[in-house]
Amino acid sequence: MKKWVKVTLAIAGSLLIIVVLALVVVCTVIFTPEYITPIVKGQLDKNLPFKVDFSRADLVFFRSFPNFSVRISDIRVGGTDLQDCSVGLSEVFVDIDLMAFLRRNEIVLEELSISDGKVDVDALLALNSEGEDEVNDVDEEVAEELKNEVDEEKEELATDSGIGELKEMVPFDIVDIRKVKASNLTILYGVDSSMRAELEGVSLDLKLKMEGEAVCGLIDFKSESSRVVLDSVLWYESLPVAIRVPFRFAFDCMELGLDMASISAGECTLNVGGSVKVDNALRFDTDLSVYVSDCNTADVRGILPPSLLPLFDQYSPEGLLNMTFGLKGVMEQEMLPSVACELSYDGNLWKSEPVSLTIKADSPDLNKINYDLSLSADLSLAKFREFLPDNISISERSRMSCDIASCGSLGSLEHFDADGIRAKGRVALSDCKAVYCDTLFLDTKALSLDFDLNERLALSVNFPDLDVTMGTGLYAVLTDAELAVDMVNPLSESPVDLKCRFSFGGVDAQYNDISAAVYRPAGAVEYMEQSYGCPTIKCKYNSSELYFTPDSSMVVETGNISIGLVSRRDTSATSLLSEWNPKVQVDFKDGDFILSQQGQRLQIPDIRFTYDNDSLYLDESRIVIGCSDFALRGLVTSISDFMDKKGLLTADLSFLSDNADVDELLELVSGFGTNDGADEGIGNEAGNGENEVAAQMASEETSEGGGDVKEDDSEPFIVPMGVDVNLHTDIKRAHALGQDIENVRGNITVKDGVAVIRQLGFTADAARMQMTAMYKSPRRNHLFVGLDFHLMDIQIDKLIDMIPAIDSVVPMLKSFSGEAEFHLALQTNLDSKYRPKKSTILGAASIEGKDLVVLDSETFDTIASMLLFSKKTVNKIDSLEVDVTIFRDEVDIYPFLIGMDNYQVILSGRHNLDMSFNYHIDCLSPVRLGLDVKGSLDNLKFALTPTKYKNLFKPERRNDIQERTLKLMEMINSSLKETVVEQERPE
Amino acid sequence: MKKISVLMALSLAIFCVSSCLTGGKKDEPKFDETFLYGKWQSGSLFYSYASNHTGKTWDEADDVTEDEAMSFEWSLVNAEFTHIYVTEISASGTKASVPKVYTVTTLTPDTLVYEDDFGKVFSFSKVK
Repeated sequence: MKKWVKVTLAIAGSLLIIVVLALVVVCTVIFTPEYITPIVKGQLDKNLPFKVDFSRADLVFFRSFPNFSVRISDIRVGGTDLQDCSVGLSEVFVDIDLMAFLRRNEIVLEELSISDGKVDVDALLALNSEGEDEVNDVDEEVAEELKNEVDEEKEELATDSGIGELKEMVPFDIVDIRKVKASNLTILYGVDSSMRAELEGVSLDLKLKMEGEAVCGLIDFKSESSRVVLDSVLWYESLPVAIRVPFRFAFDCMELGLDMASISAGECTLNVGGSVKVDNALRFDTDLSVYVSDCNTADVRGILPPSLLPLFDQYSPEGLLNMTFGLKGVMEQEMLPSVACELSYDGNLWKSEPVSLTIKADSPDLNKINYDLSLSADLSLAKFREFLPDNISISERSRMSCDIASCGSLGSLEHFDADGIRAKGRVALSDCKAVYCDTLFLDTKALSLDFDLNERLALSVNFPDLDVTMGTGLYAVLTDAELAVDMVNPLSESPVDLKCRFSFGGVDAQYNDISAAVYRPAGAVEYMEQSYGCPTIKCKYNSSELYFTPDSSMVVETGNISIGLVSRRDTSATSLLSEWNPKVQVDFKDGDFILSQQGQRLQIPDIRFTYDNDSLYLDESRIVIGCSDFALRGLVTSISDFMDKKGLLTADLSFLSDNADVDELLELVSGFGTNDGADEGIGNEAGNGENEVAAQMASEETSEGGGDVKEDDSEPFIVPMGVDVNLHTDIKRAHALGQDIENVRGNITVKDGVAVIRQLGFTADAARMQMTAMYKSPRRNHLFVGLDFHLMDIQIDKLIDMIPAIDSVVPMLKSFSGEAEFHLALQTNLDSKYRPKKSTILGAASIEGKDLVVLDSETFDTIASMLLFSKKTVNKIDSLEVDVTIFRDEVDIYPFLIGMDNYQVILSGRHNLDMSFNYHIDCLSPVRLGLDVKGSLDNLKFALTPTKYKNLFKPERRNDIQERTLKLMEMINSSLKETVVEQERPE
Repeated sequence: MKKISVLMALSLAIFCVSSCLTGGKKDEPKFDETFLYGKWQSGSLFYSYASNHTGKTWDEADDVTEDEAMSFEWSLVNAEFTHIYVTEISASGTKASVPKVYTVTTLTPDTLVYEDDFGKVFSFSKVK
């Protein structure tokens, strides 16, 4: 080593030793704690509003070399005991670079450390307040000046130039706070008794540097354990909290920037980044993002308020939560920045794509704060069991996915205002099996619900299959379903306007012994609350096939069914039917009904009808029942009156048939409406009143008909009640009362218990016929039948074959052969077995014939012998005109003239239904003789008597009796023949 | 020859009988029809005559009540007692008439007896 080096080192070392010795002397001899402590205390008392006590203050050099620093020990504020004081610290160490301050006008705080103590913020604020009061008392003028200064400063800040001059308020070039450190502190904070917070193990690291127009720094705060009590409820216990805020602030543009600031509570960390910029108008332009990444939802439970914890008593969600929260835009008094939130969860509850929520506000008014939400999730329904009612269970494999987007204003959301909410999305279920109350089972492989809520709400439900089981009885399978609903937004107050469409591949259902299957049912329903001022419903339905078995003995099969309905509600109407006044169109094809195990069958190959305005119009119907086939067309009216039991169901129908078994058809309609009529008295209110006794039928027959029922269970035909039906028949071949008849044409009227066959023309083997008949069934054992019967061009023997009873009325008919004309009006009441009640038999008949042949018989021979007929007399009658009356068991034959050969004979008399006779025969030519024929067919007695009617047909010579007889005959004859209606002869 | 003799005998007999029967017309008795008003009974058979010359008849033996009775119009001229029944049914509107003519033999406030042209006698008692 060279000499000059050694000398230099020696000098430097000596100087250093001198300096150190000088510093030691300064620190230990001159600036002793006894010297420093009063100075520091005086300064603190002068500058702080409360009294600060401490044990000593030291001037420290070596710890802060080359700077001098001050260390204050055992600081107490607001008391001397550590437990009672507001602030109690074991040590405060302050290291300030005085040279930088003195030489470069810089504030350089090398270190400020605080350790081991407590700070009661609440008590400290109270002390501060007391100190200010004392200052005010001491020097109000000074205080007033200070206050004015502060106010002026605030005003300056608020002015346009004040913000810009903020930097000028810091009269240093550089402020460099290099280390502020607090450790092992306890911080207490309480606002009266409603809130109390205790932070233990608090540590703080702060760095800050202001240079030029910028300030940057870092705040790192930690509390090992936090305890928070709110309203006497313990919210948090032993909760670690950490806050780390790296920041920068630019004075020139008044912008605060945050880089990865974080706030942690427990295991949950919230990160904040971005900037806030303040302009001269005190508007805050924000661009902040807050995010949580991979936060375990189990940890969230640790920071939830106690009031929310019971929600998770039964269920603990486990998964990772990611959330991004963005705040962007200007915030001022009338404007809020937009908020964007994105949330995603992947855990045991569900797995979702990020949920995005954006809120954009132009003002604090909720109606002007708009949100935009999108949500996608895939979740296991089974995981939500705890959230479902106890009576609903879901299978393990059931899953639900959703993809939902919504936007609108928060105000609309709060008030469910339709105008401000839009939503669209899709919810899909897969492998879903659900059970409700252990009775309703639903099973579907896939089901999707699409919705679109804007000015209208559109819903669409689709599923390829759905199995429904209810209890042990009902089972249904629905396939290839498409349901769509389009309606006015239900949140709006607009009139309801709903359109619904549905279609299925098939519906197959079974309930105990009842089974039903429908193939390709489809339809639409439309409901408009205000259409032309009134609620309107429109429906359409169509299915290709239907199979239905209500029980083991009945089977229903149909082909295409098409139904259309339009209904407008009339609120002024009194009944349900008239209130809605539906217009219905039905088209039904290939119906086949097997009605019993015996194979009774009803076939409806085709039926089309329209119901409108209380009327049913049968466009077309073809029906096959048993041996009958027919087509019904026409109009049915007054349906609502009939259903309301206010009037008769009226119908005007044409009945066209190739083959009709009348007896079978009558049996089908027998008794229709009688129960209602009996109970409610329809006939009395709307009918002719004759059916009053019909109401007594049911009870009456249980007694009087008891014996009959034992003999024969068959019931008489009961004419339907409450209806007024007019049938225009055109039947090619009919079978009625054992007779085959053809070309039946006429009207059949059924009116409230009275059936009338009016002017029914037909042809049979015997003759052309015309018949008007009436049948009433006021009560089961008192039936009524009336007949107005005309036979033209009849063969007498055929007539007797056709109506055997005619032999009882006119027994001598069987003595004639040939063609005649027969008119009969006959009525009687019948008992329940159709036996005539003799006391009610009433009738009249007229028989006209020409060129009749008198058949040879013992009776004729006897008469001819007694009246001296020649053996050569030809048994041929030129003309015959007989008038007959029937009253009870008496059949009165009014005098009639027979011309046979050169003989003229007048016959008259009476016979009874027991076939006993009392006849009188006048022979006018060639000799005048009278003959009485009395007795029975087995025992006839003949006696010659004077003539009675020899002048009957000689007006100038009639006596009173003959005159009266002739008038009666004319009365009978004319009244009978006037009932004949001219009719076209059938081809 | 035998026929001629028989014919002559018959003619003589008829002449004698007819002479006897048409020998003189007696005055018919007259009856007070007001005695008829009311209800008359013969066994289970009932007749009811009203002052407006309508009436009705029913037979309880046939399970027919008065409300279900057959209606008719009646007239009493001297002893000629006429009932005219009208059927309920008609195709053209004209209904068939069934006249029954009787000759009253007794009519008192309590008893009504009449007979028809065939000698059948009907006897009724007034129902109080």
